Amino acid sequence: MDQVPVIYREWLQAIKERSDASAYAQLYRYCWKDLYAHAARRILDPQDVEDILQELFVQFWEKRHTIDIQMNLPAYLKGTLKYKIIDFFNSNKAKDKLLDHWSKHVFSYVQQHPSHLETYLELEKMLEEELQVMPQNMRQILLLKWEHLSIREIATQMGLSEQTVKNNLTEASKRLKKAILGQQNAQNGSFTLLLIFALHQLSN
Amino acid sequence: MYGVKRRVFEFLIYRYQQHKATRAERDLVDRWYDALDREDLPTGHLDESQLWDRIQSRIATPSFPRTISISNGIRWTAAVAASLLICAGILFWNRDAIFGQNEQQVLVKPSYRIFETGVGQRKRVLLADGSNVILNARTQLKVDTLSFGRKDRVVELLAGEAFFEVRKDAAKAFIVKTQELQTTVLGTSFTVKNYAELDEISVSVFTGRVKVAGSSNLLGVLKRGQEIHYSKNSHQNKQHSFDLTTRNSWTEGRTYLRQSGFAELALAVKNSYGIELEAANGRVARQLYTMPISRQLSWPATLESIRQIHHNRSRKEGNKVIIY
Repeated sequence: MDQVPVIYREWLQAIKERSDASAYAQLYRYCWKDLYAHAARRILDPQDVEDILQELFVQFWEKRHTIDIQMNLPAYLKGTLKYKIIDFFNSNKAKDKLLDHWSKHVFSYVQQHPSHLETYLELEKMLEEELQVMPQNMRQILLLKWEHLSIREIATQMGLSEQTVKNNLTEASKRLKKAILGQQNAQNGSFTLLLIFALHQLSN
Repeated sequence: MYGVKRRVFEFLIYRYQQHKATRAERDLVDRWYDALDREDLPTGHLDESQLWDRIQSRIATPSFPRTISISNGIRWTAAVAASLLICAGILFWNRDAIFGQNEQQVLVKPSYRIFETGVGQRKRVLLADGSNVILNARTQLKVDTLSFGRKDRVVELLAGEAFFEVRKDAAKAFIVKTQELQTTVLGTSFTVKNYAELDEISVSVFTGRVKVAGSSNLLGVLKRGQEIHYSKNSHQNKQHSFDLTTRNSWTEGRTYLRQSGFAELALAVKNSYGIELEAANGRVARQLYTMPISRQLSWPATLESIRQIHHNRSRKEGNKVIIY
């Protein structure tokens, strides 16, 4: 691992061992623009983008004593940012407009990439089927959970105890897990379908 | 209540975050996520110094003086730039796109390095200038690690096919040498294809402008959606438009043949399965094929589709499959 760029290692060493603020300023200055563009393309809202970048840089500094100075710095930061963005999509901070936008985007993406289309359609089918056969309360609780309501909010809205909501969610996720495992086993047989679909697409 | 698309999206992202996604789902999310790099940057602006001030104010450490000013950073920017120049050119990352392994450092002993792929493989190479290259199967890309980026950014496509996403640098041209063709750009994305089995070298442009020159003369300046075909035998060239949506599907392990000749079909089969496909006679050699070739499909199933298109038959001779 001798080929790590000298400059990264120097910055990281200074930050880790001497809490060197000017080295951190240099690192920030060098990295911020790419990270900003990466986040802005995915989060869109300027305020949310800024919050995420702040988090990223503050946490990096807070964890400075445990970092590996040999690491590939840009890749590490981008990887960390990716998980922050995924977390953001899953949080109640993400706005409806953004999630709707990406929902449609993923859908059109899989249509242009038939190898992923199958995965998507399987997931959709499985999801709809499982929701169909769930008891109504369980389905309602699950859908509310996906709308990022807290357990307490769901309990209040539905007039149930928090424990009941929790039990229902556990059971619902068990069912979905089981359905997905079943789907995986069946997947090997469906490539032929994919081919037929791809041929159909091409002939149009 | 959400629509179906929204439910699937949230379910998918949730499973991904919770490490509960299947391999195929994870792959979908990763690929989609990466594809967002091609989205337009939203308008609106983030001020570098303002963000830094806010970060500083949240870092409550005595050793972190509030007085560091980013605005008079011109002097040390130059210093950073100078030290980056020293390390630029010795460092290349080599990412294995197929198995999704993490970035892996590559030791550079000689002054050049050849990135290589075998049958059924693809590889992503990140060059020292930040440009990205995806190699198709059976491809060799040579990079002179000492001179790369000093003046111009020169790489050589020795064989095969590669998609280049070139980081913009108006001062240093990015040049791909391919036998007698030379492709010159400043910052753009394009695919260069040169397999020994095909008579033609092609350059296909996805963004920006690309200059293609032969050994002695300029052949053309291509724009998005334009493609040049250069014959190695006749030294003639033709320009076409091409389908932007399927031209690079090989980066995802698929090749779409569209009214393609037997040589293109045989090439796609060799790249995907390592199998030599041969036409038994002129009639078969002249037939055209419109179909996807994907390694996800087994070879027997692919062969069956190939046979069915023109109601041909096949026989096996060693590693060769003869179509008749």
